[in-house]
Amino acid sequence: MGPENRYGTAEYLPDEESHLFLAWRDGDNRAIETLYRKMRVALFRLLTTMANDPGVAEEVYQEAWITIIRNADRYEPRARFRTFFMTIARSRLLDAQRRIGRTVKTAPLEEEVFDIADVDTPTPEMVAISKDMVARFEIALRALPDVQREVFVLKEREDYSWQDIATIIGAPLETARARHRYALKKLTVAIGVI
Amino acid sequence: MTSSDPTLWKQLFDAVDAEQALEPSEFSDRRILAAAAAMSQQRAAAAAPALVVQSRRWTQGVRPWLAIAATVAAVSVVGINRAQFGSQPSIIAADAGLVAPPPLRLDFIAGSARLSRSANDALAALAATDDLCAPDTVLRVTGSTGPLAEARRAAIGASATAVAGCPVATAAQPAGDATIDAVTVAVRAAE
Repeated sequence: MGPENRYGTAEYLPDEESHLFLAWRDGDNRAIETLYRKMRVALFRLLTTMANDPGVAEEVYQEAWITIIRNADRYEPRARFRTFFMTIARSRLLDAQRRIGRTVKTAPLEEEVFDIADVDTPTPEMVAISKDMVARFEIALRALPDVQREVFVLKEREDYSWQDIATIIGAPLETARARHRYALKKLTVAIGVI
Repeated sequence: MTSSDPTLWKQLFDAVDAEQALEPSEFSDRRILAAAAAMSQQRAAAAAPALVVQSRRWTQGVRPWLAIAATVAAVSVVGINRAQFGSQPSIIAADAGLVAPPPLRLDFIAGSARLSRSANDALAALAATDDLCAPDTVLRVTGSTGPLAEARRAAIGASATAVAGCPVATAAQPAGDATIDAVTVAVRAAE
């Protein structure tokens, strides 16, 4: 984020990916390939985890890119390019899940409405990552409600800011934080780490 | 390592990634980069100087322009404007190739907007191939079912054959394949 604008909010300074996308839009035909090669694996894996279905993820991945390419003129670098991408991709993902009749798994109402205390302060005990832990993590991650998994992945795997996550999921910051805390608690229990 | 250690989750995600090694398919890569290339061409074509020619019968009118199109590197379709010429099938071939370097701009006006646009894309791609009459040149056609759609598919195939000046195989894709547009570009089976 950069200096504050006249509205008192921080102005976004375009990142490298945004620059590449804008350069392509301005006539540098190679810039889009550079951008695509740079981001393809990370965006695809993120989307695959969020979708919980590789087939749906592949379809949504294509649709999101093509939507962005065809509507490039509407792009304004108000956020990181990857945030812009994920906002569109998430919308396409929800469309795809509705189309194939899959119900989006939401969290129980009480989890959405009421906040919870932070996970207990961890002890300094060190735990090595084992194959078994990875397996339990993968299963528990898949079992999370969609709305919790997406926030957890965006935060812990991709290090998106809370503001970016709120933008992508179209919900208030506190909702994003609460979903993350629930996910964290469940995963912590699942992998047996405190 | 504890649950509050930020490296814990990253390491777990890395471990899952390493195990699955997921990547987009080559088909996805090709489709996305082709869409970007087509959009780049459209922009370049839209900015190109234009010489406009109109023909009442598009299969006759388009033929000489396809000959020109075959000599330049890029062909793109920039849109359909039926209102300007009414319902009569017409062609505007806006040629930058005659007076300036490519890309060539080729507009085609006929029929239903969506199918015409797709057909136009396919014809433009046909024109851009080195050998229009290669036996493995295939025009892939998709769309809804029903007599009207069938008739349109047949018409598109016949038109492609007419403009290419030699038989062009038309392969109907199964409807409902979300990864393929209603009428897609011509492809070569050998590729």
